Amino acid sequence: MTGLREHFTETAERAKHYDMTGRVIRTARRRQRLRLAAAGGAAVLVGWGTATVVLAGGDGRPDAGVEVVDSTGNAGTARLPWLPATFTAPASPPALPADRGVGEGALVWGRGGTAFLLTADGVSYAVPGAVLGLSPDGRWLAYAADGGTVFRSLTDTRTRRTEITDVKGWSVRGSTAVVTGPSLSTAPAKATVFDPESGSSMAVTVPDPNWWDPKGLSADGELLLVPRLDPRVMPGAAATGPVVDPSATAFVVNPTATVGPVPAASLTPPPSALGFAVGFVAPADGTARAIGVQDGGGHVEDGEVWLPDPSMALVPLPGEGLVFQILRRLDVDNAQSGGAEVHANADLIEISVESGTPVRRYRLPVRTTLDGPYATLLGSVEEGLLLSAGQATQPPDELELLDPATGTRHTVARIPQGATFSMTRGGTGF
Amino acid sequence: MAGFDGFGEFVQAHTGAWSRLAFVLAGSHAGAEDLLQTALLKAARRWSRIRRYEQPEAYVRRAIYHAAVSQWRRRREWPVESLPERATPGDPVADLHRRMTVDAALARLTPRQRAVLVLRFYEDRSVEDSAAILGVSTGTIKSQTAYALDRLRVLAPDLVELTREEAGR
Repeated sequence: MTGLREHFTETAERAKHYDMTGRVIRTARRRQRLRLAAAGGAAVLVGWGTATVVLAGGDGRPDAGVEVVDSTGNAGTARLPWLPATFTAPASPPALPADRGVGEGALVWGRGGTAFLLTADGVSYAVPGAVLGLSPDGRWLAYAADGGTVFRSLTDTRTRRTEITDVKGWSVRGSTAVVTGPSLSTAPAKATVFDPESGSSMAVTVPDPNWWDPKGLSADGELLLVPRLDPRVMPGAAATGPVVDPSATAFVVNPTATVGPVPAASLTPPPSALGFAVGFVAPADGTARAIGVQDGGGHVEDGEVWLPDPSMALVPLPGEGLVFQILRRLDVDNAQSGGAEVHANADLIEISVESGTPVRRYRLPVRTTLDGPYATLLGSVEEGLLLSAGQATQPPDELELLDPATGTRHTVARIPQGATFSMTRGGTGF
Repeated sequence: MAGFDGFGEFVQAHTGAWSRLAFVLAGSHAGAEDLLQTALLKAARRWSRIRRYEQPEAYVRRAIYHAAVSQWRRRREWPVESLPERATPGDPVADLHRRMTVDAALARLTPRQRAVLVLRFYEDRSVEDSAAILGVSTGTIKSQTAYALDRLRVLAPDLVELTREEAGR
């Protein structure tokens, strides 16, 4: 044996013939039957146009298939390879240089209205505009400048410029972005899947854009859609996706990658007693589907809110799951709340992208008062799930990693005095 | 059988190659079965769509890689036993010993690093192909390859010779 290639070849020869055709077909059929049964027996949609849907318990016992991961223990400390060992906030960081790469980015922090990029090497740079996103691999930074959006390679000097866009999300890994036209007042009818590395872009029609809002890409590369809170958000939607300026530096639109015209589609959320659904569109052919998020047979606990809100983090995992964070009602006296119900971030729920049923609950420490500690789901990285953590009503001051294998949480970064967390890899903001 | 017509035949025709790939990625029979089952279940659920693909088997291969990379949830279960002592060159037992050493070192890479090495040095995929299969940039493939080879040398200093050729790619 002289090399790795020979080693792999020898290893392959020791493989058995893992024939699992029958087992897979039986399992797939069983799951298909369960999905059909769940869709047929679900209650009517509730909650559209309201702020939240609160479900107290259920009439059945929790689905035995839901795994509960205990993440309530105190957070230890750990080091991630792409986060610097020490994080300082110098008084006057230099501007992001245009004539050289600075290395992969770790996170974005802010102070006095200015955003600063912290690299994996521990150096901070002032970003010349409002930061819109940092790719999951830390190689591309998106920010608004000169009336448009700039995608800046952090490992060299390449830049890609588009018209002004919102960065709605990213691929699970790598640096592919989902961008839309500004969506402050309109519902984008197109989303553009943009790979800054190659410069290629692909327009994807958003079915029923008044209903659905693009969010990012699933692990399979499908465009993720979340329902808008208020379905009355109305027409006037942009007719096309963001236009990419072909004259910009080193930017090439790949004409073969542009799909169109894709016929307008209608994507109706399947029934879900929780009033929460997720849509998917395959960029290659525009095929759309949707799942209704189910409570898994009484899995919603007393006082919990599974919020159908497009502003919430919906984190696709490398496998087949989607994670989001639910809310739990706090007992707050009227003097503090003005008579309104107050909810705080609570456990993380992982659902199947196929059925919408919960498969895992990461149980986080229970916050019972406004003064307690809190944790907010930000995204996923190769090492696990990222959370921001803080106390009471103060901004988050720690970045935590939740190890999905063990449920343990580790503090991986602390924000220096006078600075605030702004964004981490793959995230769209703290 | 509605919905799965032709799926059994499709799987039977490719199980040999997929089994080898899954075993090289997982390093154990149980792990390989797990990877293959995960990928095939995914393919079965989308069979009505992927059967129309020009190369539906490529979908399953990609799903096997993605299943391997997403083993982060279960990575604690992967074998991470201590590395064996150094082997004596020329010893008839050395090859077996070295193989065990490499297996143990590979088991200590992250799933993604291992997948990158398998793509590059088992399947002989180009950087571009590897990037497309894993859904990452070509830069990531290059950096992960270099990092993984460096890590192998650290984990098993005997293996400098073993990875010299690959380091030049």
